[in-house]
Amino acid sequence: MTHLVPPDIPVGQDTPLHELLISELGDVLAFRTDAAGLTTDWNPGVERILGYRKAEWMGQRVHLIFTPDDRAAKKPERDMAKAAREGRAPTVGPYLRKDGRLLFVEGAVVALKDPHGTLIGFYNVMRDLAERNQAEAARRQSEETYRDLFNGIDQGFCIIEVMMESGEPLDYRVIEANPAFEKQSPQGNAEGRWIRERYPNHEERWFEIYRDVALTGEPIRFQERSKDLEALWFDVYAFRIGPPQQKHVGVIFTNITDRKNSEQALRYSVERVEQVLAQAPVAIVVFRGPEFVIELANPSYQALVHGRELVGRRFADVVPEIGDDVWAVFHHVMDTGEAAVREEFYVPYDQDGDGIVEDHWFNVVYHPLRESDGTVSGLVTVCIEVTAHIRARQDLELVNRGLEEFAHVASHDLQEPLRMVRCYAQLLIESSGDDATQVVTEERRLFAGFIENGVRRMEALIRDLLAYSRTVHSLDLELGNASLEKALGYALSAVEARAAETGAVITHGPLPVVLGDETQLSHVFQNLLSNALKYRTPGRKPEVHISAELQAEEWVVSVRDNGIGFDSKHAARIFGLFKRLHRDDEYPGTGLGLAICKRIVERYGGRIWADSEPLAGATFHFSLAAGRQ
Amino acid sequence: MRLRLQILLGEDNPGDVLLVRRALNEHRVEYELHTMRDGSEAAVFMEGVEGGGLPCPDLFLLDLNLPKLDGCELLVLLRAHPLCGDKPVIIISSSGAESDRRRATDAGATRYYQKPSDLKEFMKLGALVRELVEA
Repeated sequence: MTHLVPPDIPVGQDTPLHELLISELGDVLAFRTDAAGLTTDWNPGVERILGYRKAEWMGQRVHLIFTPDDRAAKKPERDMAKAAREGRAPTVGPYLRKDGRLLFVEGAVVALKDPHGTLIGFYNVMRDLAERNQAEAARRQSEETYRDLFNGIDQGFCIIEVMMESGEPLDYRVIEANPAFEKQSPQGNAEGRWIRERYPNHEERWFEIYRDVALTGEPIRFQERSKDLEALWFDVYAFRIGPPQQKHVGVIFTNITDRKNSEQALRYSVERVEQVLAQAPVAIVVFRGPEFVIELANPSYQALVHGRELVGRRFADVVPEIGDDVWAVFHHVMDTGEAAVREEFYVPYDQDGDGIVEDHWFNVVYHPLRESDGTVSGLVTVCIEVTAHIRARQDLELVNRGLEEFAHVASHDLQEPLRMVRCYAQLLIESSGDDATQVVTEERRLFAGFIENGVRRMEALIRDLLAYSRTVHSLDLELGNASLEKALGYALSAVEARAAETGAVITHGPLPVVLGDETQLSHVFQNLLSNALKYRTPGRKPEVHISAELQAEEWVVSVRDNGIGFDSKHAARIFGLFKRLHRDDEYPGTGLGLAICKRIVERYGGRIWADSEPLAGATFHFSLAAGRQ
Repeated sequence: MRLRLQILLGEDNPGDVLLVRRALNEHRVEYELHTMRDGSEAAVFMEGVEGGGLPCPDLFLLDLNLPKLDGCELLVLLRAHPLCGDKPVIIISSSGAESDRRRATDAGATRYYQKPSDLKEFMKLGALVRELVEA
């Protein structure tokens, strides 16, 4: 080792040399302390090499530049003692810079004595071991980077020690962990504690994976769930650290429980949607873009276009025969972004693939599909075929028209021969005056009377049957508001003559507006009033009262009379076709009146019933929905 | 002496023919009845009126449900007839249906008479004929 400075340099002669040393030898550090080791001078080298400014430096203990270890080992004291004793003490090793970095130097502490040999201080001269310091700086840099990474990354990072015995994984424990560890694994790292002790149910797979990494040195990445760790999901990268015999494994991991859960939720909801789509009895198809390329079509839709390729093809290519009406709706939805609904939409096309276009009807909803920026990029069509309903209705309409025609013909053609019978029965009676014997004449008159009576009943039957049949057709009836007040008014004028004849008193309370048809409902009133007048108590004026009461959401109308009444066990039977409780010679009738009432009321969603006791009068009730506001 | 009223009756039911006669008699209409039992018979008769110099009937009583050509179809032909187009025509029918009435009116019927099933009522047809002829 070269002696840089001659020993025993006297105080006061140093300045030029000292300055020279400092300025010319950039890697030399030189400063003085007093005998107690307090710094007494400063030069730019101190700042350049150690980082201290003059004010920070002056009067400090020299310990300042020793590492904690050296300080603990009392190296400053020992160096000074040796220099005082022997004149100089060579020094080598790391010292501390102000910034905490290590500075590798070699040099010496030289004792400064006055001419009497009294120790007055020390001279410290140190040469920067540049190469070593650079290497150290690099090492430190790398270690710091690693530390920063270790501490800074968001992922959990730990080093674990794997314990095994003849290849069998026994346990592992965390020996070092970064701050993010606790964030990713809320139960903390429990540094140093063996995992089996802490999590007795921890899945064996974890132990096996870490064993493999420790044994083979092959890194592995896996996603695993740990029931013991609150059933959390982790994404883990494990790699061996250090020599194999150390059995250290670095583990970088992320808690992906939220992601897994939302993935699972998403998968679940996608599966559910797919299930719904697959099982939906309605046809669903999704079109994309201006060419209406089919993106998705459920089985119900596929069934509508038997055997045609759908997904990925343009709608125009799939169903080229589709009409302009459909295209008009498609473009309307795309252009306006408004949903469109079509009921009983007539869409002729070839459903069964036999090359012939058939008639089809659908109830359809066309809904725009929007991108996140609001632009319409396609549409979803949900439809259900109603062709069978339409056909059934058409058939029914046909049947009804036929029935109507039949009823008309019946009314005309059945009446026609009856008219003949009746007219000529009357003629028989009139011309009986020509006959010779009165007995024969009386007998003829009697017979003709029977004929006429039969004809009258037949006529009544035909008339009522016709009325009954009229309640069957007109399926296209519209539910409108009907004033029961008006309906009763029509009925009252129809029975006016009969009421006057019998001296009846017919009264009524306030009547509501209901859902129905005034004409039809007047038939109900007319039949009920006719019955009330017909089945009156002998020798007593008929009294009839009509009232209405709101029960729940429907009106119950009651027609009460003071007539002969009937046994309540017949209360249901009397509404049947041709059901009568009396002989025709007692009370004439066709047995259709109440059946007609029942049909009409039921057609408007109501019910009709009666209660009565023999000789105690009868009350007929019917219910109807309240009229719309 | 006043000429007897020439009446063309289109009616296939002999019972009704008899009743019509009775009704006319009851109201003392002096008439000569040309009874046609179906529509084409009546049409042929009318051709005779046009080409053969036969006189045009003074009044027509046509049953709505006449076979072959019904009363209304016959009425349309009649209204277009060059000589008889403005004669009174009563469409008689047992139907009271509004549609039948309208059909008759649209075809140009002077009256629509629903055949009643009561004998006395039926007799009023005679009064109607009188009324139309005397008008």
